[in-house]
Amino acid sequence: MPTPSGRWINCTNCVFTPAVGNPYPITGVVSMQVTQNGRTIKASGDAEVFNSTVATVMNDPTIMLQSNRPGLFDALPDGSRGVFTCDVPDAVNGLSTGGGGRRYQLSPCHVEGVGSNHQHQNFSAGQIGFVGYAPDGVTNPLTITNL
Amino acid sequence: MSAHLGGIEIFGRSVRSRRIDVPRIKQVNHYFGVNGNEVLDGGSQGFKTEVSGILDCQDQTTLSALLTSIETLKAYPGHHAFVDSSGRQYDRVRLETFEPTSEVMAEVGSTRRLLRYMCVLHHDV
Repeated sequence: MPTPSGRWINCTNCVFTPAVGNPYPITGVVSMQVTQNGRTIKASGDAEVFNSTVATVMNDPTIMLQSNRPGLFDALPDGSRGVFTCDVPDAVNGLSTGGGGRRYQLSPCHVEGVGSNHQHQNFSAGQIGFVGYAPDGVTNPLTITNL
Repeated sequence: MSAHLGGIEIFGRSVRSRRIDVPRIKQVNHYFGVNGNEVLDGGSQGFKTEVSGILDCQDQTTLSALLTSIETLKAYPGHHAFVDSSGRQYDRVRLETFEPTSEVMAEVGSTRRLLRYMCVLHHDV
């Protein structure tokens, strides 16, 4: 197998599995953005000219998807809960085991920010956000696995 | 410079302090048929300092111990020495209130615990 390129291209196998129901594939994905959304507090005191306290005290991991098939999102209203998974192939080896691709999983998560955009003389696009949460308050719902 | 009360560094980091004046006690008399008021000065009641900051502890155990120390200082009926963040020292200071103004915050990936607070010190003169 060729050496993994270290570059990823064209995310695939995007699936939302609701807490109750069957896995729901999301196709036509044109972009996917993964962010940790860390919240940092900063504070300064009397006569200080730099922050003397800095700490990242919260994470809000979020995956935003854009698809050119926004009708797919009709079945995923805001507040839906479940697990979201998506694979990102290595540019050379694809999804081969040990080939450099990776898998993102947000478990558990809920759906936020479903919407669509309909441009003149262009395909309509839809966006959906999957926002992770931790029932125990400490377990990171976002896992990134090398394939 | 760190501020402390009763020799204990209870104020943590990013300490801000603000002086609040307490009006002198007055007795104001008015006599029927006479214009104006008669004001009798009842003396000073001292002043207050409002302090806010962030308790910044290495773990929950340390934070709990610090909060226990603060409760002890608050319960003590006498005076403490107070040194503010500029190094100025005041004697005859009582810790009137000490209230958290945030949830206990944990730093991601560490045992560090942080807690915002606001407290009021009363300076007797």
